[in-house]
Amino acid sequence: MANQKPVFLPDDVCPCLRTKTMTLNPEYRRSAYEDRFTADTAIFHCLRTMAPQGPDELDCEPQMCRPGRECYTPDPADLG
Amino acid sequence: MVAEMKIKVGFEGHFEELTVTLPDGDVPPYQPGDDLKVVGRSVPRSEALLKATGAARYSYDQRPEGLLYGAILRCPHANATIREIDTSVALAMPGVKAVVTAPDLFESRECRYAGSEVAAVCATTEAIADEALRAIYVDYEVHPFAVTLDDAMAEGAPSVGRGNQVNVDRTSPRTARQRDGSLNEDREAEIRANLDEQEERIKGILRAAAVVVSRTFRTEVQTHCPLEPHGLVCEWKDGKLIAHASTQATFGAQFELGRRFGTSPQVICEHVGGGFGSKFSAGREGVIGAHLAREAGAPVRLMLDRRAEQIAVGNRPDSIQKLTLGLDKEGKILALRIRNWGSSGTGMGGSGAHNDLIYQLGEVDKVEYGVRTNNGGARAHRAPGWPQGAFGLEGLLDEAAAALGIDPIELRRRNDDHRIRLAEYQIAAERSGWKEKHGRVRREGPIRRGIGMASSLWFSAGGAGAAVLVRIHKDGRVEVRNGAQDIGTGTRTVIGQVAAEELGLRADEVTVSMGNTDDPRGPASGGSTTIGTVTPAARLAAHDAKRELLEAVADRKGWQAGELDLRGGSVVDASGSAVLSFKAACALLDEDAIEVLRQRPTLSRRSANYDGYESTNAGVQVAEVAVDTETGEVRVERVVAVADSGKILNPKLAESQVRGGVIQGVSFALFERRIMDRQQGVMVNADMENYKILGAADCPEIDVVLVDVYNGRNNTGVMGLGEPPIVATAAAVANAVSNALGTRMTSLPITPRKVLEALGKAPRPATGRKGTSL
Repeated sequence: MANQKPVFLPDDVCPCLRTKTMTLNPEYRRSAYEDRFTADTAIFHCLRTMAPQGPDELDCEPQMCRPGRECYTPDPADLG
Repeated sequence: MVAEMKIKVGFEGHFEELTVTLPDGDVPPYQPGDDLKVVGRSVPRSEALLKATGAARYSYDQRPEGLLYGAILRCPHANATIREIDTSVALAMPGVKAVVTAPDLFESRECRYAGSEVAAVCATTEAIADEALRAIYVDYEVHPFAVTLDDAMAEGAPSVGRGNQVNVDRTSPRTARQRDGSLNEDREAEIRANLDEQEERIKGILRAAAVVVSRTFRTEVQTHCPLEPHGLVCEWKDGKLIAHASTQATFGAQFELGRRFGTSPQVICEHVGGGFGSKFSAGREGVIGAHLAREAGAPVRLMLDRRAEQIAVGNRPDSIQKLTLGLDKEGKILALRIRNWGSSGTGMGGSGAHNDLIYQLGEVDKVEYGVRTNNGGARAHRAPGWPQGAFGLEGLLDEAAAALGIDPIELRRRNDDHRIRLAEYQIAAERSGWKEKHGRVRREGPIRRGIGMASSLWFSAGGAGAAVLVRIHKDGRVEVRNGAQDIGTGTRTVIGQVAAEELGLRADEVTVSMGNTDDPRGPASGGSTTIGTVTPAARLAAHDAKRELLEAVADRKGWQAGELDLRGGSVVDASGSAVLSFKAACALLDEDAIEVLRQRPTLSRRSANYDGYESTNAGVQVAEVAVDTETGEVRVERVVAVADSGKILNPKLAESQVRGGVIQGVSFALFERRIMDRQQGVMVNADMENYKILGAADCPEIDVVLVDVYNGRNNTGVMGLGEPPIVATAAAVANAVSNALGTRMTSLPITPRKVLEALGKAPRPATGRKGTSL
């Protein structure tokens, strides 16, 4: 993967969106490798549901988890 | 600030000079000819004795006072909506301390697979907890379901998703869907036009090709099967959550639990009994456990049972790969057309197969589809997407080689420009006796022997984000601390070696602490990134701690610090003569200890590593098999695994990684598959008896050859090795079986029945369902 490069998620992606690559680099936990090498093996989940779908039952992914979605959670300070 | 310097890169017989830009303050990478005393040596795992004697304490072994036992109620239906839950009877039972429900914790009443979480309890004994689960009343609205790829793709298949969610959707390039699941028609038309153009271009190339080969390959779902299940033992102390979690990401689990509970928990994970990619998230079980502990006001152990492990916490998706390859008469690949389908459960992500990255393939037309099924979700699984992708492509390459009359290794050489792998082909061929064995099927009664090969690729020299603390005590003790976990790969040992090398000590004179988020940050163990991320920080911290120590010694003794170094447990002068023992030097410190914390050196936020010899690992494997043509049984007799991972810091541990990858790869090739009951919607082999994995008796002889590459890229020059060894194995085994039988094996696992089918000794089952869109 010579040309693999980190692509940073847009700032307004829901903070509840999670994927493995966010854990690889704790400094940049909002980043995710999204080029052609890993986009098709990236698996996302929602912090609120801890599942691949959000509370609105739609899929979690960077394109979907944006402002305007019903379950968008800009400040998930305490989901407990 | 950065510094340019010339370094030597390459490997035996292939060294060259390279000008690189180092991060400011970093030390240069190890160089050929360096007199290394600890690095590069086969130091045993530092925790080996603890593990061998059972003294190592895993999450399960934590027994805080007043421990309660958690258990999870799971949905028996493959697709259902919870109409009502009544937990009152369970909560009133003696010994039951808390009950929680999934709709309350996870904001959803939907159960999309048999095994999804519904409720959970904690109680004073495991028996009471189990009894309490049975006392929970749940009323489900049950829906139709589809639990296999074929069923979900069939015309008129039940809808797995909700609302507008379709069962089959393009994931790469992604379908232009809007938030409600409907299509953005204009955008989608644009994507389709590009795909059509790409397809026409490929068709043109294939028409002009000398040889075109085409096959459909299938692989099955493989579960992770870590011996230690997912889960945690957690307690709340003064409002702080302390979680002993079995995790591949201490800081990832800390982040998720912290966000869920509005606190900054301490996550501890001293040892991990396997994860293979399934333990990056705190998981539902982590959230449930923490909730139960908070509600009960007592520590709770919530570790999953084996059934839950098999159905609820991840797997490697299955795949259907329809591949077409075109080559010229010289064996140069002109084009590859790929259509992949895979299911990662109820979601769409993660179902891809990587089959277009190792070789020079000319024009590639790749389209992938996710298939939604009523199964537990996939998770990263050791080299996600790669073993299944390699199986397809490598099989097709062998067919192309046969059609062209070119040796399979030679065909690959003609389509490969990776300098390390080109050398590895030769090593693998010589080591396996390839020339004598390939093309000559050896028969001995009903046994046919065959040989096959495949290649691998990986890409990690680590990333930013780790920090390592080195503490040299006045009494001579040396501590190295990082909060990341050692998932059993030997990270702890190698960090100690790197620090010991800098300090002129033996590895066992350095104590390395890992797996506690109170220590400096470290990465998750994923993507084979850990060693490349942490060891450069460890080396720099040890190097700078050494300089501080030597300056203190020079100051006290009136010597020149620049003329001093640490070697062989002593301070040495410019002539290399020992002038003071390490312990005596430490005793000269004014303070109790020197503490040096260093971040992992990086060039920039977006470019963690500098240029090196190759930016990727290579790897070649050759498998030899014996196939019983009467029973269909396949035995893998030998695997030659040639591997590289930059500078080999510890050959024993590196070899161990390769062996582990090969073992898991052979298991994927011959045994592993999730079997779903299509009528009931449940997994029928959700245990370790009926879910077959390779056992000791099935294990081949594994001949590991490590190629030590001075790759540069970071100050230890190391690259990850956790995942690359599994990439090629199943493909090599399948090619060997195909070689033995003289017919292409297109489906994993290669069970006795499939072998007999290939030999025409058993009828092939009907495949596909009406309307399957292949």
